[in-house]
Amino acid sequence: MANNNFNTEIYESVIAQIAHGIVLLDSNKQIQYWNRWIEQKSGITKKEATGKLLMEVYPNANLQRIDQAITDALEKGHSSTLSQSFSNFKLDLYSNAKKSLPIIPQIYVSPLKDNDKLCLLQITDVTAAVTKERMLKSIANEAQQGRQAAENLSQLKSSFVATVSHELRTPLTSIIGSLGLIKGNVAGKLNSTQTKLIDLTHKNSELLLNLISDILDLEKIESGAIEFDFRSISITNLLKQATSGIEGYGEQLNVNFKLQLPDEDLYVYGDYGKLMQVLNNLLSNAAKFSLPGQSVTISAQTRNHYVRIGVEDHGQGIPESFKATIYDKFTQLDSRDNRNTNGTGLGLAIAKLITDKHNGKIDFHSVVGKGTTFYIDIPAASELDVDNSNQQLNNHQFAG
Amino acid sequence: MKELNELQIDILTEAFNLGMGSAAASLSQIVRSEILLSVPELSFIDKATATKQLAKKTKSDLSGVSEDFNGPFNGKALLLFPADQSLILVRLMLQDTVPLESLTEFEEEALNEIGNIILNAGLSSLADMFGQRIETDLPTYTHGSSEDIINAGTGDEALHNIVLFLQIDFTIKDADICGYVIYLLDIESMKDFTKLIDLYLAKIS
Repeated sequence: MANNNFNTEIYESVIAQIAHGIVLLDSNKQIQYWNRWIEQKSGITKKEATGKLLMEVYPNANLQRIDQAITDALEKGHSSTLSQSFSNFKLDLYSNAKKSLPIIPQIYVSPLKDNDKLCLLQITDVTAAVTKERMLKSIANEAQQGRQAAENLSQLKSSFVATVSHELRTPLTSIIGSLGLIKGNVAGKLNSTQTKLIDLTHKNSELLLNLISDILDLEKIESGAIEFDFRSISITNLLKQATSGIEGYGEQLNVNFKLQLPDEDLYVYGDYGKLMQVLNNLLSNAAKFSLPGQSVTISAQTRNHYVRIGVEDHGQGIPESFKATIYDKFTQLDSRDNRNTNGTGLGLAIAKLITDKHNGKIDFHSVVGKGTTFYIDIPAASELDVDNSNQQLNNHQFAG
Repeated sequence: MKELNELQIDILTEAFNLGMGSAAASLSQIVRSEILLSVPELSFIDKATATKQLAKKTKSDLSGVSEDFNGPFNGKALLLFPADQSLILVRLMLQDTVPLESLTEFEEEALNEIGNIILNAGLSSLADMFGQRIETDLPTYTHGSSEDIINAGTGDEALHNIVLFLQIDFTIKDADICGYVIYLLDIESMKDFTKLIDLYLAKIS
């Protein structure tokens, strides 16, 4: 219940002290009330303001939406909100009466309830909140621009690398072909010096071609331009083919490959060609870093829902300092005797990308002087995958 | 619920289109860019049907503005958008390109102002047509499902069961945005409302 001791003076004192601007206008837009907040923010006293037209106190206001809102309140009984976001009006309000810093106001205009001859203006200082929001937006904007710039640069780089690599590969293939013919004495018999020089040129051209192919592969996998053909794959087939494919290289380095297959065939869900690429890389690395006469062992075993394929060598091992960056692009460890390595420094980066795309994992353990085992874990194929792949194979054979 | 006839619907649509013309002019002035508003659809339905229709048309949470009005008929006026559309509208009007996921505090205030102008203009057209005064309260921002918003603060179910449902099409800077204006009326207000339309029709015929 209202306390009768609260008289008009007390209510007036409450309104005067309120932390918002309160202005009351009559039907002629003459100021009838001007509270302490607006006195302080405008530097215009209640005495100076009362009885004057609002437009006399703020001559610019009659050109602004605030004037229309006051007219609508008085004539139609409409309430209006004038957000700081849309309104360009300035009521010349400052953080103190000495006009130090202008404040950003939010204004509410409404007819006074039960008295349609009066219009109430409520003014709120939203400077701090607006400044904070602007700062947040500016940070978000900068971050967005940064992301966009990085994205553009990355796209530019990818397209540059792809174009340049493609343009280099075509003439290089033709150069290698011609060098092969010269080496084969098709253009006349070579003397020993010429043979040495042509061998060197041929070898380095092939190295360059490998590098370009690896760069193109990497770029295509990273950009998603290559589609993976996932199906159920027999580990026995995969490892047998991988080993037979690398045997020639092993013979050159006098390294032999031992295949340890499980008693019962295992199946993984993957892309045959891409997994072959990973194995080629791991096997050639193992051969490269083995000593003549040593062997490399390839094995497979189930591990939870994965099949783990291991490639173990007994070579020089990987130094600690190299382990953290081993999957980075263009990182390469010299083999112990700098033999014919033909490496591009991209093989493991590609292998990691391919195993990642299989939702698999690549890892290694290595002891310097004793050797390294690289392994990849690839998801095992479910029975359904195996059935479907067999079905596809049968259909293919039937159609053929 | 007494249904409005075709003539009554036509006259109301015309009045609202006039109101939207004036709202579009005010909004265009504020953002210094041409904004077009039109009312392609208007219907009188019960609250449950309106809730269902709105949910079907928008398929997401809604953001918008609500304000109470009093005059020869009383009720609540709402301007509602699918939440993502309200973001687009406010940012187009504020020329804001920062892709934040929801409206910031001051974007909500900006939406309040947009809604305030549109709802006041619609009510103003009705007031002019009927020669009556319709007072409005300050707008408030609202967000939620169509059911929550339509049921919020309407008190007794039976008292606020009738809805004047308008689709509003916005065209701003080559973007088309669809919003909905809803006037929730109580039964008594509905009777007064129909009476006023008939009086107006009698006057002009």
